[in-house]
Amino acid sequence: MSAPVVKVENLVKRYRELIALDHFNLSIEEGEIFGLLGPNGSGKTTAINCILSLLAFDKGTIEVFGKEMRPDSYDLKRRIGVVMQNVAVFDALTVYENIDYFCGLYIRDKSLRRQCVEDAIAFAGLSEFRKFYPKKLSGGLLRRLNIACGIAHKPKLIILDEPTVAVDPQSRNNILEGITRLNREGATVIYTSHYMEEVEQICSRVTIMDKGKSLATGTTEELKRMIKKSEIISIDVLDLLPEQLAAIRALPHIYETSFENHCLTILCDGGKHNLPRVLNYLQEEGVPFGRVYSELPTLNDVFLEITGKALRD
Amino acid sequence: MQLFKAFFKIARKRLGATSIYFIIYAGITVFLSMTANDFYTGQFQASALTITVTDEDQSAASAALTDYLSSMHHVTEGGGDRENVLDQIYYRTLDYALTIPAGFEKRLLAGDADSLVSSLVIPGNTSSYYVELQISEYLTAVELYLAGGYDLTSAIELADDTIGALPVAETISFAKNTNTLGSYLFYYFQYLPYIFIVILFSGLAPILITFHGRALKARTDCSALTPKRRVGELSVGCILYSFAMWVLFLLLCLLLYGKELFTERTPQLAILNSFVFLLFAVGLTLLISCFPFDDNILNMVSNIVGLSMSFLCGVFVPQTLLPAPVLDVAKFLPAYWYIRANNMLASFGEEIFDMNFYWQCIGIQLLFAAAMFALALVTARQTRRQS
Repeated sequence: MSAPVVKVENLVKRYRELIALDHFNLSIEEGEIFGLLGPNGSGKTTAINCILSLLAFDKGTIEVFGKEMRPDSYDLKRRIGVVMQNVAVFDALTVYENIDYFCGLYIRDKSLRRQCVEDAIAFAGLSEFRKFYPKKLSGGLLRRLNIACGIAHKPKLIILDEPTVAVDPQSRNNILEGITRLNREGATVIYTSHYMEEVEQICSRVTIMDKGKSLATGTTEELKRMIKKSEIISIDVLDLLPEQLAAIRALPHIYETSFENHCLTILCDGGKHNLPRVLNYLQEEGVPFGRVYSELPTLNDVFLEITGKALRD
Repeated sequence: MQLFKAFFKIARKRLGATSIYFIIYAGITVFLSMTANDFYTGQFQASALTITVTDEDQSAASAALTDYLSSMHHVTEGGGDRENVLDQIYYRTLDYALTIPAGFEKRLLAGDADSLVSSLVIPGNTSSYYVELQISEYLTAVELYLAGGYDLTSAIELADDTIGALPVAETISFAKNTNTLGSYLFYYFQYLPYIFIVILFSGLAPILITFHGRALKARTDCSALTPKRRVGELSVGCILYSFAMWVLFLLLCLLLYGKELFTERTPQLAILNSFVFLLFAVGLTLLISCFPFDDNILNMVSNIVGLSMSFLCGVFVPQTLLPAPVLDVAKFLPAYWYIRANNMLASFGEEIFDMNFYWQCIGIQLLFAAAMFALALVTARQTRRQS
């Protein structure tokens, strides 16, 4: 088995009294799109900055492509592409010049670089805008330029720190498709975002972190199984006796029931056939019912259950 | 050479704004230096005044004094009553009204020299002061000959001869440097400190601030570019940019004032002086570039720094006209020493050329430049730590 592309062990980073990373662990295999989820201030960006050697850390080890990552590990840096949260491009350079500049920080050969820049422009769908200055681009195009600048040198590891912030749904979809395409072409991706549906859509594995710690890691399905709530059933019912509600509560895998405004809500903690079982009971009892809804848990539910619902900075 | 190329691509994009500064300031400098007259010493020339003489004595001595004044000024006899004379003086149709009182000759012969004549003048008028000097000089000469035993006629003749034979005063310089900077070149170099600061602040500082921007810097730090190479390429860019600007000003100067700029020693010293100040200006620009100022704030800072330093140190106003406390403060600014050296090279004002003092001025400017570079380095390191 090959070594993980990124391996972080017991990483500790302190900002004076504040512990930004508290024995943080991470292991990312080759070919993964790895999601890093966490509320604001949970330590996601700090972790990424440490992995990129932009920040010195107090304790722990970081290995990239099986080698220790240090500020002077230029052979490793050459294989990493970074797309920062903030758009980092030169206002005074055109789209082409910007991509060429950042690509040139990794590739010296002019003809190879030219090809890479053209590929990145095509990848980001910026062909029509190659001579535009960043200030003339829309928010979505600017984000795409930001990504193109980070991936033009065809890196094997791409780190994207919230690349879809303040982007319209079309551009977001385009960006997500692009990331998936990069992954299919052989790049390992680390993706941080606040948007759970994005992470759920593209990431093969996810780590949820909070207060500098890794709280849970696994595929989205594995994470969903980790939480108590696995299915919510809502049924429009005209009337229900308390005894009937208690009987439903006593059915297998049901741990909470409520009846308000003619709506019966049932929370299940796993198991199969929960919905038919409830509907059978209602039919047996002669309770008339209307619309029926069944919701499976989302990553958002997992996130909120693991990190709590308290507001963050 | 990605950074280096990007540096000059950005510089080229900003060339429009920078060249406007260059053209405006170069235009003003050239206009001022071309229209500048020679310095004060060459601007004096004798001029005839309108004088009225009221001779109440009607003697040979009073007639001789009137003739003496007539030889230099437009003299009319009498001026009417006192009120009329005052009106003429008020309306500047008359510069000087002399009254030779009765008994003038008698008092002159008796050796009573005090208040021999009376006058009405325009208050504070320097020309009137010179007429009084001429009268005093003439009467003193006559008195001297009378005291020496000559009769009045002989004394008057001898006084006329003596004053007429006075040698023409000629200004001589004790300076070792007789080949001074011409007034055109003097003014050209005089305004360079302000131009350097404004152009470097508006042209070079924004480029450096762009590269020091947090997000861009982080992205560059993540790349395979070594810090040594990054600093090296930016430094070469800075040096070339500043040097090119300096050379451009020298070429403009060469175009306007000819090749003696490089062949004569004094202009060479002025060029060296401007180069040393350029080093300070670059150091100051590097320091300013450590802060994330936008274009508007940079403009404000360049105006505050450039104008205040220029006014305090005598770039726009000659140092001889600045009050002593201002000059005391200005001594803590490099532009003061630049201007002192420039004044000295042109023998402007009270400055006398002294090679030792010239090197002292250059040395002080170099110290300021070194201090700026050191401060810029410390600030850059501190900013990096904070981010």
